[in-house]
This record gives sequence, C-alpha cells and structure tokens, in this order.
Amino acid sequence: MRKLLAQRRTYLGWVAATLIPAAFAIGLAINPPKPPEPGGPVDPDVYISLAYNSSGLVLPLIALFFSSLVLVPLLCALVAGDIVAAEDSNQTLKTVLARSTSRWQLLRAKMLATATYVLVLLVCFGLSGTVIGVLANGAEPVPLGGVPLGATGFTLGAHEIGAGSMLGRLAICLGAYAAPLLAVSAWGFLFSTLSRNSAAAIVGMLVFSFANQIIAFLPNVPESITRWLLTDQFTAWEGVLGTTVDTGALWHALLVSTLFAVPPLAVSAWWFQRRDVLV
Amino acid sequence: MLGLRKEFGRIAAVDGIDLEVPAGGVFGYLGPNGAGKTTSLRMLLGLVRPTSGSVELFGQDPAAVGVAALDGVAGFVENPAFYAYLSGRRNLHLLADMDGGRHHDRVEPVLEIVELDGRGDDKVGTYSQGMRQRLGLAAALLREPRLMLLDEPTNGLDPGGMRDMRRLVATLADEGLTVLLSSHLMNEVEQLCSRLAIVARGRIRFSGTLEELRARQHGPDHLLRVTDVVGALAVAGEVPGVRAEPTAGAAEILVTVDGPGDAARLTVALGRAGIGLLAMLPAAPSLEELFFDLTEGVERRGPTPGRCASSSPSAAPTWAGWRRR
Repeated sequence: MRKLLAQRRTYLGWVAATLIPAAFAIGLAINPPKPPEPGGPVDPDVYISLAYNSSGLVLPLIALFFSSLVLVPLLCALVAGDIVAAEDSNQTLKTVLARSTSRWQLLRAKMLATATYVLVLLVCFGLSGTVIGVLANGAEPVPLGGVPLGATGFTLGAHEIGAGSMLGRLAICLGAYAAPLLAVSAWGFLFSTLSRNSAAAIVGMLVFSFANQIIAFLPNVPESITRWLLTDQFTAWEGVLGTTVDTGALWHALLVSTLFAVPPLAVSAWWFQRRDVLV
Repeated sequence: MLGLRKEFGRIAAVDGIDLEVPAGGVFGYLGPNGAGKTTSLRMLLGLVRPTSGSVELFGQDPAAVGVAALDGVAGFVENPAFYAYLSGRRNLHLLADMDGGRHHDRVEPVLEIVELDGRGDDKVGTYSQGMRQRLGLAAALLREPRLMLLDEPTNGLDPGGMRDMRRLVATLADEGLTVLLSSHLMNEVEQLCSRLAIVARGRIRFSGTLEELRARQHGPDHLLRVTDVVGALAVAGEVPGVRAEPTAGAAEILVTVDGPGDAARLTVALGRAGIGLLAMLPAAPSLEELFFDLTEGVERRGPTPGRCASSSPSAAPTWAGWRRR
C-alpha cells in the first residue's frame, strides 16, 4: 500500500473519482432533469435524476448510474491491471522476491492493496458526490418511485426517504456496487499477473467489465442467466432505493460477485507461486 | 549446486552444474554472456525453479523451503532494480519491511558504506547506473548476509565506478563475507577472486584456484628478446635445466626452465657471452587466454586487439600476439 501511495496514478484515480460527481453536478445545473413524456416508460435513471431537483443527496447515485459502466471500472483498472505487471516491467520482482517475504505474502498484500484502492475510490466518489450535491441542491428528503400522472406530467413522491436514512442508503448503494467492481478488479488482477503487461491488463479488465454489463442491453437474454452473471450485480444497488431495501438482491450480488472474484485470485496465486522470474 | 539443470523449452540454459562455494573470500563465477551464470544465480535466490537438481544455501533448498532458505543470503541478479518513484532511502526501508522489519536501523549505515548517504532522499529515477549498482549492494548488505550473490556488479560502470565497486567487494570479503561474484570480465575475477569456477554453455568447465587454473596450461615459461638470437640459443643450450627454441619469426626465444634459479643462471650466462637481454617476459598464460580455451575450446589464430586490451599487465600486446602465432 505504501508503494501505491507513492504513485501518481493512485491519486489520479482518486481525484478523478472525486471529480466525476462534480462534472455531473455541473451538467445537471446547465441542463436540469425534465419529466418524461406522459404515459411513456420511466427508467430508474429518470426517477433518480428527477429526485435531484428536490435533494442533492442523490447526486452520487446519478453519477454512479452513468459512470458505472466504463468510467469507474477504468479508474479501478489503472491499479488492478498494473499492480503485478508493473513489477515485471520495472524488473523489481527479482528485488522483492529475494527478500524474506514469500510470494504468497507479496501477492496477498497486492490483492489487499488493490481492494483498498477500489474501496477508497468509491468513498471519494460517494463523499464528493454527497458534499457537492448537498451544496448544490440541499439535503432535503429524497422523493423516489414517482408515478406518471396523465397529461399534467410527472409527480414524484411515491415514497420519500429522509436525509439521514438516505445517507445510510447511499453507503449501502456504494457497498453493493463495490462487490461486482471488486470482482472485475480481481479479473484485472489476474490479467496483470498473467500478461505481465500493464496496458494489456487494463484493457483486458475494461473489456471484461464492459462485456459483463453490456449483456443487460442485449435482447432475449433471460434473467435466469443474467442473474448469475455480474451483469445484474452491477445494478443491484438500485434495489436499495425502494420503499424498503431489497436485501435479497444485495446478498445475491455479494454471492455472485464472490463466485466471480475467487477463481481469478486463486489462479493468480497459483501462477505467481510457480512462475519463473526472468526479468 | 548439485546436478542443477534448467531448461527453457528445448534449450538447457544450465546443464547439470555441480558446484560448492567455500566460506570466506570472493568466489568468481566466470563465463561468457549466455553461459548460464545468471540463471544459476536466479535459482540460488529462488527466482527460478530448477528443472532438475537442487540448490542448498547453508543446508536449505529455496525450492523446498522458500524464502527461509535465504536467511543469511543476499544479492542481486543482472542490474539491481528499484522503485524509481521512491527515494533510495525509502526503497531500503521498504525492503527492510519485506525482511520482517528487522533491519530499519541498518539503512543509514549501509547508505554510508556505499557512499549514497548524501543522495538517499533523491528518487531512484534520478540515480545514475553506478548509483543504482551501489544501492543494490546496500540493499544486499541490509540483510547482514553471510553469503552475497553479485551478478556482474560492475556492469555499466565507468572505470572509476568499477574500481570503487571492486574495492568495496574486496573490503566486504576481507571483513569475513563470502561473495559469489558472477562476471564475464576476466581481469575482474583475477583481481578479486582466489577461487573460481568457469562456466560455459550451462556447464562447469573448471573449478579451483587461479594457480590450479594456470597449472593446466603447459608451455614455455619465458619469452626473451635478445640482441643475438642465434648466440643466445647456443648459450641457453649449455645452461642446465634450460630448454630454448626460437619463435616462429626467429626474432625472439621461448624458454622453458625446470626452476626459477635456471632462469637466473641463463641471464647471467647471456651477459657473460656479451648478449644483451632486451626483455624477459613471463610466459604464464593470462586468465583470459585460459578462459577462452576453456569456454570456446578452440585455439585462436592471429592477434585479437580487443582481447589484448583487457589482458592483465603481464600479458602485453607483444606477448599476446606471440601466444597466438
């Protein structure tokens, strides 16, 4: 972790995560969310965006909704895809493996450092979004789950979440999103370990993350399949915003994410243990 | 190293090396590039798994017991590498952490030993090659090793840097450290090592002392330049224990003696006969010559200026040129 803290790219990732909600706040200030056409379908992002008119507390969720596909995984890939491969490209692996730290200890430290980086990144994202949102639109209760009301437009307020409760739910949302994000980061870690090439591993992780999420947009893919892919887990956090928190979806997301994260980490460890260090 | 072998695909980089490094002093591990030196050292440090055979460091095999076998062992292979974005001092503290946090108090002393204490806070990315080599040595010394494995430590250094590094290695050996010095520089090994092993194409070609290595080469003991070659040959024929023959161009004389006193008697006899002695060069083959014989296994013909340039002072260009005639 000390090495990560000494690298510019670590702070670059965290600063970028802090700036993403700010960019959305600016965008929403210039172009405020408008109600959809009466009678048309209302997507979750519309509910959340409209709620921003009432409370700034939803800003992190708006930013998360639109940046969870590429932007946030990219920031995670900067470290997950680089953390092992960089030791190869810098030829420092031979330096650290000739000390009293075993290969498993070294790899475990790198896994923990990657997870810490990802979680800190989400904390930066959440804190920044909350502070900027509150400063921009206040910390009022959040109306969610609106119902279209004929020709007059759109009315919010199917249920309302108090400001204190919303802060807790924000934390749960980000926690729920962290599970699949850590899972794809585990794949980035694997690519980093196997490829020994940072750029290839970063791109590989992004492609993997994107492929998993894009399945949701494909027609005729049954939910019984997407439910057991990371696809649905990336949106499981939306279940936190109902009248009650959908804990079943959260536990399922945690389970599937764990199932996706363990194999790449296990393969990384196996490979790293037995590989020859030739650079 | 016992029957140590490493294959990369169909190529055996190390092909059954048996070698024991005695405690104390600098042991030279000499071989041309690609001979398998670095791969051997990587196996010693547990960085590469042997295909067959084993390595023991103070009785422990790194392949079997992992990093525990490296207790008392330190060193580097090829160019020492560090985190360029950290200072030299922070790099050493980081490595001290990786040694279980035992050696933090040694960071300052080892920086002082390698004369980097004034640049310890500068990022390694700003270091010259020589400074990185010295930092590599500092990182090794941090572990308070009993055995140090150094892979071409003077690689990339200017003559001054090479001299300083060799001086440092010699000092460490004088203080009781055992150093396994891998090198392709014959004069370096000649300067620093009392014992050596010569490796070529993954196999040990020789192991022993420098004297034992030189003793393998039989031939004349001295090359004489005199004012009268014919007269000198006649005089030499009358001195007991001396056998003389002219060189190919008959401009000099090759002399083989039974003992050191015979050579002295020859010079006196030449003087009495009025024959001037212009030069008397020791004909003991240079380590470089023996090295080439062992690693290339062919007799070279004709002078090779590059080789002459790196020979020891006793192997002057004229002498080296004669050797190849």
